Amino acid sequence: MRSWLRMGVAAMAITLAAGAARAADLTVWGLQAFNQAADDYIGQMVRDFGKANNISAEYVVVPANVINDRLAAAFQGNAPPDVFMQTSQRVQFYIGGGLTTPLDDVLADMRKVPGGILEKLLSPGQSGGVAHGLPLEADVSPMFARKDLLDEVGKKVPATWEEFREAAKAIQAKHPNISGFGMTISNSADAEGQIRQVMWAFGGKVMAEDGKTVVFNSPETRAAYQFVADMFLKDRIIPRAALTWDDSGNNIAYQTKRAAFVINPPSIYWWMRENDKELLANSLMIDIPKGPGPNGQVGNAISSWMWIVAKQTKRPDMAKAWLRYFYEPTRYAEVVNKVGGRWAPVFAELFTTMPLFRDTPAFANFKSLASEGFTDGYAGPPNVLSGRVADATILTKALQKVLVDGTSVADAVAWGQAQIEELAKQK
Amino acid sequence: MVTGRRSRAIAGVSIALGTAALLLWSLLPIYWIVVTSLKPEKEIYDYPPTLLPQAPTLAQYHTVLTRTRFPLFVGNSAMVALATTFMAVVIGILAAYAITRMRFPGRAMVARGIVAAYLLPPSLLFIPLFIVLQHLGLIDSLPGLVLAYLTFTVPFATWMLIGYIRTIPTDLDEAARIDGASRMQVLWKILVPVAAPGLTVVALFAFTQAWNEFLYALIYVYSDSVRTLTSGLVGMMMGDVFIWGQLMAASTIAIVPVLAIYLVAQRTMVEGLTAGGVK
Repeated sequence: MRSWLRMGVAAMAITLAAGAARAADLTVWGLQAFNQAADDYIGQMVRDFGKANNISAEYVVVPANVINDRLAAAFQGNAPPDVFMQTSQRVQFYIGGGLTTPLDDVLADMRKVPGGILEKLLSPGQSGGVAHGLPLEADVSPMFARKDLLDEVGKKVPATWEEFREAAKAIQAKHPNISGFGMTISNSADAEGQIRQVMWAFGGKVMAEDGKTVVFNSPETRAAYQFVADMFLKDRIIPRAALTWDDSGNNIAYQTKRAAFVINPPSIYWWMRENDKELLANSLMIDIPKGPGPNGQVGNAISSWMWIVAKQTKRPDMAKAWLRYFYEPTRYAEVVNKVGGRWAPVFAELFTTMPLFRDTPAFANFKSLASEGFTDGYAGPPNVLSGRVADATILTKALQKVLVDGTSVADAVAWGQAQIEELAKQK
Repeated sequence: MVTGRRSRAIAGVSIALGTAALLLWSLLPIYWIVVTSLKPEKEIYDYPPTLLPQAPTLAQYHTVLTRTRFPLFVGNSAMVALATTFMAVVIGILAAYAITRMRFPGRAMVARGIVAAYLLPPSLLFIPLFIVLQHLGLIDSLPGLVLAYLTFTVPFATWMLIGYIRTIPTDLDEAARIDGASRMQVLWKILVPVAAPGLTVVALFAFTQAWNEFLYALIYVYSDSVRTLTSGLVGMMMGDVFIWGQLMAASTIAIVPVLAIYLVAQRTMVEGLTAGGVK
């Protein structure tokens, strides 16, 4: 018993000796960047910046799935980081809550970089024409396609959803153990993004240009939902298991060669490059096919991670100086390089000067994907309401009503419209 | 006679089948974790999946132990779990002794309050507790985490020990008191040695709770130097990229200490569980 006591006392003493962490002069929270090298590099940049400015600067890596809880606790405790990253879909919550510092002066400096920045990425961080969040990367979300399987069934790379459907059906008919389309239709974030992309391609939208009027219930949206329902219920080219996938479900389906097509950011590309060169050689990253009719369009989507400076920071100038340091083009290009293609740059010129993008055929259309894709809130700008709609996964729930509950498309979309209108009434 | 033998045989087979099913249910996930940790990354994604690694490798363990900060996270977890366990047991035994052996107003309410404190879900407590730790300057520190863990381990330890101490005859205390022992002497020299099996169980459960705790570890500590293994594991899930091989290798490593402690203390545990408040 005494030896146990001694061990306990020793453990307690060591723990307590570790002491409470002293807050740094500048604390920066960053989302985990998909590989250790990139996290380490940004961490080193923060420390170098601190040294150059004679302050203690700390970089904390936060996994994306816990950033909301951490920030909520930190803001409640009145101890937020000076600078933090957030996904573009959530930036408006912080702006709406009055928790951010305007960053127009930093943005003006970014625009001076030769070639400028991809302006389309800015809207999720803006409010009343003022920048409160600055994009630090472009997240494109193309379609991954198995070229070898397309060749086998004599189909070309699909440019329209009809072509896509025929190709997926033909592949699945020839290979019954391969699903034509690994579309996520569960309650995960991926599902909410993917149904949006199909809906946009068909000409549907959640909001009108004013960002306030809800226009979800339209013939175009209903056509998109009917199309997905037919792929799931009639053609059975979307696997039933997709109803329970998490965000890695479609990655796994493609990486295990059980899906001929999936929609996903380039994390799948990164995995194939590291682990399966054969699959990589047989894969293409293509545009989201164009929808039918006069309002049909290519359904590419873009989002980003954004830097935000907390309003409570005691060192706003130092926080902005850090952002300028981060966006210095040479330094910034190295960050993007470390992430290995998972992030596309926000500076247009880097697509042609960075060997990673200039010399990798798979990334050939990334610049157009990053410049022309739709952002959340389309046809309006991203705002608090568009963030709420995404958080509440209303589009996915409406789809599940059709796929699982047997509700008619018209009723499910009408239900979605009513739900979004309810959210719009909330303050 | 024949019917009796047949009934016994059927009962025996049923029990064996039931036990096998339960074992399969419990051990299959652990088997899968260990097997996956021994596969190269590409084989993990092979379809159909392989039940045994085709090309067994320790590469995932090598990566986890040499190219990540996981060993540091394990060390932090060990320190936090040991400190929490020690403090929970000491505070728990003092509180349990007071509640079971001393007479004071509100005693029953205190006992019920302890249960209520234990039943409060961490998801309700994490923001108020964050604010408390923030004011104490203990956010992002191991002592802060220990303090947070005491909010559920102390009520648990106290409640368990209340049940255990109640089974120890008060005659022992009274004899010692008549011989001139103080209350503290009665506690440390009479009750604690007698309650050793119960204390072991409580310590093991408290250790396991602190070792496995996830939410507070995720919210209250964030610097690499003070992260614990549960929050470290989350770092191996990067958005939609799960590094399954490393995740499984790290999980296997995380299981080992708790498993070793349980195996070593198995006999004492059974004794404590059957004699204490959970019998």
